[in-house]
Amino acid sequence: MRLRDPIKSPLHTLKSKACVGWMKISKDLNAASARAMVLGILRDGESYGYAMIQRIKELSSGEVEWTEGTLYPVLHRLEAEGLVSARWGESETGRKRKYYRLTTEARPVMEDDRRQWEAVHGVLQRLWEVRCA
Amino acid sequence: MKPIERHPFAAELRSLPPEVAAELEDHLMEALAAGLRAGLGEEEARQAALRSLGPPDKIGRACLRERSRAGEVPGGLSWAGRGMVVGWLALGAWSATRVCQATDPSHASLAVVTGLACACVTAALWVRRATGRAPWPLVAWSWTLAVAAAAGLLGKPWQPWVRDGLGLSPTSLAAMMFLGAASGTWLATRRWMVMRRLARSSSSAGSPAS
Repeated sequence: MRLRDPIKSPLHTLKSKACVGWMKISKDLNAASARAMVLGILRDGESYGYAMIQRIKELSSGEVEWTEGTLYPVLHRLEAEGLVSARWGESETGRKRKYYRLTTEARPVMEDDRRQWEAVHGVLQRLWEVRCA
Repeated sequence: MKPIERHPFAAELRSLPPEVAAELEDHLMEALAAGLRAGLGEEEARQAALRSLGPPDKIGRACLRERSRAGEVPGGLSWAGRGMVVGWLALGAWSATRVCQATDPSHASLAVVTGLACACVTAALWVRRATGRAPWPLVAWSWTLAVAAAAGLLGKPWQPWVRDGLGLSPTSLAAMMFLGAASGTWLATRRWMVMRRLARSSSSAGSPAS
């Protein structure tokens, strides 16, 4: 899944149109969206925990911050469910590193997730457009 | 795999299964390096890395919980576990009724028996939660109770004190001995199974040889 341009996202609309200052995404929303985000990142190729967190920070300009163990339990669940596979490799410094990649079973699930998030996104956008117009 | 004791986050990761510890250690080391690059001192960068991750033991438990939900590692209570929980609760309740029935219970024996009953309940509750964390204190406690019960049951000089002072009959001592030994062994075996399953799943994912 490609992340949408933040300028067009409902959350950005909320921030800019409703004049809310710089904000962090709530813990609940983080938890709900983490799975779709992880699958979206892994669609671009294999990655590991720290790099995924940095990628999300970068894409959200720091608004989405995965802390308190948001990411790793999600990765382990996806691995146990067979949606991602893992292999042990080495970092540049020779440290052991666990890399994750999507399995073929993940593709339809990811498509389903995308449709659901787009539906939610669409509803919110229409609601907020009406309210903020 | 490198021994975790040699790393700056050894204390925080020691209680976790090796595979989870290695993964979190990689995250922490990356965050530490980023902190050092940003000009933080070593300890400051270490603390910042820990803050960026969150409590490692909590995350490790969450990872194990997620795997157990998916059926990859044993989670929840088996019938043997449920039997032990019921056994401990029954023993605790029985001990409490003995105290109530005693005509002249000394404060000491009352406290000891109540303490034992509470320990039984605590153990029963912990059994459910012991899978994802290091269960060794509970294993040690269970075996200690078993040994103490065996000593009370078999050691002749102790028998009058145990029976009259604590109001514990041979039947309850035998039950405590059995439950203590069974709980300790069950918890230790369960923990070993979780570790073995994790090691096996990591090997099949291509875990490098140590």
